[in-house]
Amino acid sequence: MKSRRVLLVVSFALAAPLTLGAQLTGTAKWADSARREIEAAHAAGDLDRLNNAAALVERALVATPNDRLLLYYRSLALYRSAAQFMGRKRNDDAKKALEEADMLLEQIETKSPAADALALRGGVIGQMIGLSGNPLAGMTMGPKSSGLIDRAMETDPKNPRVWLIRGMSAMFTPKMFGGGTDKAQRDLRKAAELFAVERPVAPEPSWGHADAYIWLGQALQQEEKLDDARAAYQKALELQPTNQWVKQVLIPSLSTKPKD
Amino acid sequence: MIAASHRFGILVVLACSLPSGARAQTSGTGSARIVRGLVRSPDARPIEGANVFIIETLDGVVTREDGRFAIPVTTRGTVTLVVRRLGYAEQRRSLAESASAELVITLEPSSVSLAAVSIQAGQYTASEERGATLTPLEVVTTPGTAADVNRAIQSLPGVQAGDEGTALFVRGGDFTETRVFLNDAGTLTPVQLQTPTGTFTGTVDPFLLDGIFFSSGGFGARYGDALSGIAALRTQGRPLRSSATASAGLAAISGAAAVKLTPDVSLRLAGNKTNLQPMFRLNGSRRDYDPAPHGYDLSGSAIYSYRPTGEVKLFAIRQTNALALGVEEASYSGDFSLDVRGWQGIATWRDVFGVISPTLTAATSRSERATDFGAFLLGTTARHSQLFGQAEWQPVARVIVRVGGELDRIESGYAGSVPAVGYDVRPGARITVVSSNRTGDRAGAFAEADWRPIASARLVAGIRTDRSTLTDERTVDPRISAAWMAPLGVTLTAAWGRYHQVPDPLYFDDSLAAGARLAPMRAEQRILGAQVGDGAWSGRVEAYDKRYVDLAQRTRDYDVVAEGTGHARGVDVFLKGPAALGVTGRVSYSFVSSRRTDPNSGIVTRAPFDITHTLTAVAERTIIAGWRASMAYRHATGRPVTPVVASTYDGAQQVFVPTYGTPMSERLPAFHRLDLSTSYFRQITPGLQSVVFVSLMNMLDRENAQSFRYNPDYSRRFVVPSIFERSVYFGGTITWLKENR
Repeated sequence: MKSRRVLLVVSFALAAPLTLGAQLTGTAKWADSARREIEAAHAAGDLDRLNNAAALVERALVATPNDRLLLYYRSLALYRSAAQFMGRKRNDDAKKALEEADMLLEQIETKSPAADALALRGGVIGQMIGLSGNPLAGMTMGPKSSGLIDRAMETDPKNPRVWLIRGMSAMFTPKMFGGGTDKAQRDLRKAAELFAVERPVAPEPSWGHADAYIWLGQALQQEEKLDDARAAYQKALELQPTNQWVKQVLIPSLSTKPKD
Repeated sequence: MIAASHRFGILVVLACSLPSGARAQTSGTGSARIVRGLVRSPDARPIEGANVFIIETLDGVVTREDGRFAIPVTTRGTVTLVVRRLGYAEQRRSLAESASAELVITLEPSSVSLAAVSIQAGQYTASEERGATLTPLEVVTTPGTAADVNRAIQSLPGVQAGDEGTALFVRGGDFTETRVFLNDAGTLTPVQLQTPTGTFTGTVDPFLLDGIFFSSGGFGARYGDALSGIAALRTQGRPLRSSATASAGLAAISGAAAVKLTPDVSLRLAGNKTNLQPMFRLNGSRRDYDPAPHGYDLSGSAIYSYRPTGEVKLFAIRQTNALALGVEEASYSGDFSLDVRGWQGIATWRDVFGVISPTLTAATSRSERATDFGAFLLGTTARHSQLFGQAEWQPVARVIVRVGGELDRIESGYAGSVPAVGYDVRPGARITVVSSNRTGDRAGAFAEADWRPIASARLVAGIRTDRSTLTDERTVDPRISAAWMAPLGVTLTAAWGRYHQVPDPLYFDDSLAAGARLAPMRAEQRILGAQVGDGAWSGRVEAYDKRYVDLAQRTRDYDVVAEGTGHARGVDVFLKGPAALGVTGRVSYSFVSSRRTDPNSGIVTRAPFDITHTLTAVAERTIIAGWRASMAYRHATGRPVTPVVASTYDGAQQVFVPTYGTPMSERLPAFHRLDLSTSYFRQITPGLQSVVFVSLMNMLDRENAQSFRYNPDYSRRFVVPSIFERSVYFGGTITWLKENR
């Protein structure tokens, strides 16, 4: 009995520092809060909430202007906001958000280029091509975007968000320029596979698992593989039950006959 | 409701995690005062989504649709309220504890609110980076530049290009006063081919570069030994993926390959062979070349990225250029031949360790030049060894400190003969036999602080010191540059600085300098400017004033005279942006008044590069996807010249001796040139792309003047035309890019 009590005490003693160590403080806590809030706001399709999340990180950056994670999460919030702006046809606002995200991610790239930041910047620049209004923008910005994603892949080939962004990028790149839905599907399936085994430690980035299925579903839908697309969307909803885009737009779109 | 409660939860979490410094200021009373207000635009419309917060505690909110906000403040004393919104300039207000009135905050729109101010007086960049004046694509597709870096730089304001040459005459200064750097290492010759009919070839192939930084003045303490301007070229980094390119044109063939050996190690190789003969054969030429300008360059670089922030780059280039052409002078008509060859090797290391970014560059180069024209028979050699180091340190968010230094050795040698008097260059004329070897060591050090006190302001202040064994004199150069993003998106810039340059080592030879003591040449520059816009469109105006002392100059008889003085004043204007019908364009205009001591007469008069007006206009348009057409028009006032007004016959030497008129009292005819080009880009397969292009140069077929020449007794004067008649040039490029996995 005594030996069991000693074992219990030792166990607690060993566990205590681990528990304390897992508690986030200071900047890490801000970053973790931002991480959660951005994803919740994105899933809900709530632009105001995304703006608030971006604003909170902006304030935190006043205290620690060079913090890698805070810079990343402000960029992520702006990237997510840009998607919402584009959905509302507010392209000027989307462009401003992406330009600021690009600038912040460039800061991270200079100081400590991590795969997540490189890939996100690749995705940001990819979106800027479509908004630029210049048909030749793809000639210069396209290689820049794919180069950043390639670098991210070299830095961390097992990062699922790098595969996710590469897959999304392939969907928007014409087959002639090396993109296409087949490549997108390959990358997005790989992303989903890696997300399934990823064990991110807060406050490091962990977003994207549901996105992999959302974009895989769209790639399948473009090839009119509607049952497979539905399965992908359902999987996305399992992972992110609050995702309004999947519920209200993507799944209903499967029942709508495409226009001839 | 869910969203509201979640926001509240986040605020609580954030409030609990405030930095200790902020918490220490929190009042213990628990009674919060509320700061209320309205954020609006200058036309009184409410601004939604502005981030309003107290900087001491980071408590804050985002403004509602009606622009209103209310923030509970739990700290005592005066606090600072910050208001930020994308597209507007930041506002700060100091609020006394007793203040209770509702605030009305008007935000001014700012077209450059995204980035902290990056513009500096006199600076232009060509790269893919944010804020760059030109992109590399714009550089290589500018009609009439023949994809030459120097010619592309000439399309920027502040460069006086009075002829078709490639030399960079910057803001009323000689081209030797502008230094060209390649990967932080100075290059030996700012131009490759300098002949009596102009300069032909710039520094390096622009396709080797991924960034060009050009400063027409007011540059910082990092750059030494340059009086007027800086062109800093950066070679390409590691390739995104393996690729190969082959190009062929009427006057050049070239090939390049980039190979990713491993994810960390890449190689780049490039070769380029030029010969203008086929072009002259097709289009004709006003000059008699035999052989036509020709040469090659071979370059290679190895890039090792040993960690994400660390890179070692080795770059080496070998270049040769040669030509021979018939030149008519009053005393002699004959062949002028020139053969220039050189190489340069540069090793660069850079990394980032936390807040410190070190850079180290070691370089060595060698150049040989052989010139043969009548009595002028001279071979020169130069060897240049350099070591440059810099550390950039960011102690706090808004301050970057740069410290560094350089060691520089130039060993110059020359041997041959120069005419005893400039007007008699016949073979067998009186000559001065010259032979000399000179070594000059220069050590320089600098420190510079780059301070951004607020997002809309930037102040760069620095000091550098240099000492050369040639002048045996230490120089100290303070320099300061400031920029402020004023309301309505206008950025105001100003710069002041002192600049020194050591005269050409050859000038120190006793046979040329005749006992003159040469001091470091000195210039003092003052610049005031304003810029509007920094993206798709921008406009920029700069006024400057430069004063020179201790200039070392060469007379027409090849003697060196010291203690020249001068000044240059002018205004540069640059406009870039979209125009009607899908056309984008840019216009550079420079006005300058440049005066300096005439080395032949000793009086202060117009400088030889006093080109009052220089105008370059470039327009581009996409016709259909991939097919692009562009046009460039250039105009410049003719260069000043000293006329010959009479002559006397020297029976002993059997040559006419010219009598010169008032120095620089006449000008060459004005320069006009119109160039057109079109290119078609086609993606053949995902990994294969091609570009074909056709250029029409000097569309107006104008006979621009390179210089004047005289008949043997100087009774008649003729215009020496520049080399290009109306000419067509065409070619194509095919590029293979390795596909992604």
